[in-house]
Amino acid sequence: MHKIGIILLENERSRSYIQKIIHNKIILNDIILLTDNKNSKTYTLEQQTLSLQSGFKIDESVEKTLTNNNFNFKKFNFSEINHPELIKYLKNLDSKYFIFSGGGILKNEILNIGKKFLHLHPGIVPHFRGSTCFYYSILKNNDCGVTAFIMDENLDTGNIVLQKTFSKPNHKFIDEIYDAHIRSETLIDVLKNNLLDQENFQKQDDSIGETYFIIHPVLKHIAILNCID
Amino acid sequence: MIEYKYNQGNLLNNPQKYNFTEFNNWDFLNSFKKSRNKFLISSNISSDLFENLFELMISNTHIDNTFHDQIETEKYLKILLMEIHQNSFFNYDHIDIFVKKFELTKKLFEKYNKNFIPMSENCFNLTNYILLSFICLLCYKEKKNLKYLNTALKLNDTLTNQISKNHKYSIFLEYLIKIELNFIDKLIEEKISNHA
Repeated sequence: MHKIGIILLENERSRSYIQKIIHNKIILNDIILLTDNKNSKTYTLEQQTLSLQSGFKIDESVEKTLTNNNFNFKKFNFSEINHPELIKYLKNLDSKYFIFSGGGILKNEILNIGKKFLHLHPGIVPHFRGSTCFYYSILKNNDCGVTAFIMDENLDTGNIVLQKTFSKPNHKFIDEIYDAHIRSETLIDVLKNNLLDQENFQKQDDSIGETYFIIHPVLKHIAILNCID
Repeated sequence: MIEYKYNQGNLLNNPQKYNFTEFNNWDFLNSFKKSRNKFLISSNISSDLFENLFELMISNTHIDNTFHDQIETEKYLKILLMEIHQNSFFNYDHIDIFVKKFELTKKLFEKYNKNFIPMSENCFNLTNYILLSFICLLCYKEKKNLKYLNTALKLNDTLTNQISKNHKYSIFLEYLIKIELNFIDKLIEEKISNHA
């Protein structure tokens, strides 16, 4: 079996990933936490309740989860995925795959170290590449999707590991809760079904599809109101 | 009522990033419309919005379509617009280059080289923003692809930020806003059940 590691940040996405990995008793070989100690976000009771219903505690820091579960992990005091210290550290690890949970766009320096990076993209590619795709997907298809793919040098064009479609949310916390929830559910499916071991990935046709840019707040409001009104 | 803030400040010097924008329910959409409506001041805007804006922007314009080492943005966008008007030809490959250029920097520069690297620091020619907004609205009308309405909304934020009521371009902006609001109203009607 291929060894798998994860690179975590102190954000909602990473919290949902690590908590669901622990809940599903999935073993990871390497755990890395990138933190610049800037995250002092607080969450309302409604957000805490909804995140619990989505299978994770939004207000529990990644570091606390790792410590409470007695995990060994390497902590860096920066959050940039392309940081030379991180690249140097990754090169010496045994894991072949690393789960990516943010921290910027991967540059060639990190893509070329002989490791593969799994990204959970919140859109069904090639139709929804780029930024904030779940809002566009709600407006266009009335649902959302996630694509797990192996990252390459282009934007959202890597080989597909798994695609899943989800019902649109019934609450307004799409950025904070729903996004983390659907990505983490897809991640768990990838890991529980050993899809990285099988390496039966589907190549994308990068000549088709659509790339979206960060959504304007007017369209974002129409998408959220479509879900809750 | 909350105030629409995405066209505030000097957007050409400090562009809006639109990252993790907050949700403020219907109050936000109402504040957006109120902000845009301030620019609808003429009573003589014709109902055939697209054709009239074509007339205003490119009628009787002869454009030399040769380019040498540099791409002049205004000339290039006018050619793209004329192709749409005269031949109903949407050159999406080239339109998408300008959409991407604007989306990444929220600026349109006067000149680019053949690899679309900016060759001028001047990003203050508002005609370029008007032309691209019009092209994006035409693309949305043609394809119903939200990517283009998204970019038009951002371009119009920039334009409402830069163009005052008495500005020589205010009539162009008025047409753009009217078309944009028609599309937004239609989208709200289609997508939100409780829209009344």
